Amino acid sequence: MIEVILAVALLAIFASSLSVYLNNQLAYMTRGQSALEAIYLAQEGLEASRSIRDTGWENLATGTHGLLYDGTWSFSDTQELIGIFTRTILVEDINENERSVISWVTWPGTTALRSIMLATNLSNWREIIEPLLIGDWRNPRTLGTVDLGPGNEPTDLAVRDGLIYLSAQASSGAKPDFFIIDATNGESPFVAGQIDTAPGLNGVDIVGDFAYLANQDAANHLQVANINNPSNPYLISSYRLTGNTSQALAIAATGTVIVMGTANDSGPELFTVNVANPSTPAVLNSLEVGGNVNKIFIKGDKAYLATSHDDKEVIIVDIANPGNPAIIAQINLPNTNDALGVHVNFQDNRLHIARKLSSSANSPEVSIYNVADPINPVLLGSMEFVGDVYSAYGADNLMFLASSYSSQEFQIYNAINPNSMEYWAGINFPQLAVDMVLENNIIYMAIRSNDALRIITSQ
Amino acid sequence: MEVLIYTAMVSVIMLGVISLAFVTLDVRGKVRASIILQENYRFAMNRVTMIVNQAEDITYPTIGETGTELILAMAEPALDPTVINTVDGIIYVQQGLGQPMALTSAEVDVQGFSIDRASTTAPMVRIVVSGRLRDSHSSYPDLSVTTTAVVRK
Repeated sequence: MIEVILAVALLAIFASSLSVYLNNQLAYMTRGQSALEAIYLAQEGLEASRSIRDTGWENLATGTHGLLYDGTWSFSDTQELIGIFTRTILVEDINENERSVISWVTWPGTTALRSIMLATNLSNWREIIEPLLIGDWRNPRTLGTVDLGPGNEPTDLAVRDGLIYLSAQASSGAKPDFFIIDATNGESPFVAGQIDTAPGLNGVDIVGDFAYLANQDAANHLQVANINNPSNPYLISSYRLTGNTSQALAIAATGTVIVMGTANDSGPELFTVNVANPSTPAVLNSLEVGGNVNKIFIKGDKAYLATSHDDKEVIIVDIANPGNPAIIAQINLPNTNDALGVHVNFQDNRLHIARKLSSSANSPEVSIYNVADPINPVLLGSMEFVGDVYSAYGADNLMFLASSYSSQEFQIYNAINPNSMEYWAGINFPQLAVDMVLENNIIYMAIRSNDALRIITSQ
Repeated sequence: MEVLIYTAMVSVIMLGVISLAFVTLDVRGKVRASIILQENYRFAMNRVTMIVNQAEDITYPTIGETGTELILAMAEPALDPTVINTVDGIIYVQQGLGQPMALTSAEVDVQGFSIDRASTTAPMVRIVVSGRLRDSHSSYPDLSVTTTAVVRK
């Protein structure tokens, strides 16, 4: 009998050990499968970040994000849940043209939370390394134009993948003032969609599926439009910058933050706005400028403002912490003519400044500064011009001007030596040119006329 | 009487041993299935991702569409076009006029191979692969893996 009991006991011990072993094997199997799924989700996070980078360096915003896929990848404000997995993307600055991206996937294990992290560094190589221009820009040609009908005057534009987002002011509040123009075939562009935001718009910028609009209505400074379907844009929110009673003049977007500028006001003129949820924008902070903020350009975590202030026509603001923006530099240009436009060429860190015409001597309408160190802008050269210059845009060694000069509103200069810029070519428009954007060797230019959009390229 | 008791006890013990043997074999089979699936998926997904990264463009699916076959335009004429699809539950890649090469073994039955072309101008696809060990019992593990690959031109 004792032998039998011993045998059963031994068998029980053996069976228990085997059971533990088998359970471990099953747990190991499940863990292995989960780890494999997590690795590919993490890898997908890096590829998604890469594709977001490809839509625009400014879209690869620093911070902690979730991911959203609706045919394209974009960052969202909340972590992404995929079954048992949670995916988080962390983006940090290494320098102004390089960011580290960490794709972090976690999931519940049997005893603890398990995680996998993959990391990569993404650079702004397209804008730094690749030449932006090809062909003969000594002989520019008009590819196509778009007529918005009588009484419409464009004020600003943004461009992405051949779609042009145009803000305008109309002769009547009942007319459309935001247009999406399909210029994927530059020779036959057409208005794909439009909205009447009333009373009119002064600025536009786009991020992901949303257009951010600077409205002339001082009670609705910021408006957000869903542009997911270019033929059917629609407003999703209107927002007042509390305490400011002047109209919004300028807007620039980066990630989930909007930088907005208004006309001179008794209160602050510059605002940072959180649009992580575009339906409910919220002011993060504001800054006193002391003049009109006519234009805003964002490069990395710096915002460059063109202002009407007599002593600081250009202001550089650090927006690394949008909740606490800080002025890090200001440029006092000769004389007092207002700055109307600013653009930084990512390739060479040249800040191009466009100004109103001044009849006084030594009051250059165009200036170029080196802002490799944004705290210490260094003047490279400047130029007197014969009209108001609304926009000066740098690409490769060239500078494009949009101006009020009635004989040639559009001009091209070789600015390889900013101290001695060489005129190359120009085109006459029916009215003054107010803004431009370069994409894929094509200049999209907003003209203050019915003939609202000119599409220009090289021979 | 004692003989009966002993026989009963031996029967119980034998049943226990046989059950343990079955469970052991079942777990071993599942673990083996899981390992085979993981190895196949890892190889196939890495290879597909690498090929997409090296492509010039994505010919099919077209922008915004979903398909079960991936056709890539390649810079090197000998590799153009590169077609990735499934035949009888095996993922194949065929480059140019070359013979189709299997990316998964015959042991794995790939039941889902979905390619979702993103709406972006920059060519990008989201790939979902799901499957299980061929002819395996329904209690055996299946596996679904999702990733995204971008054309890096």
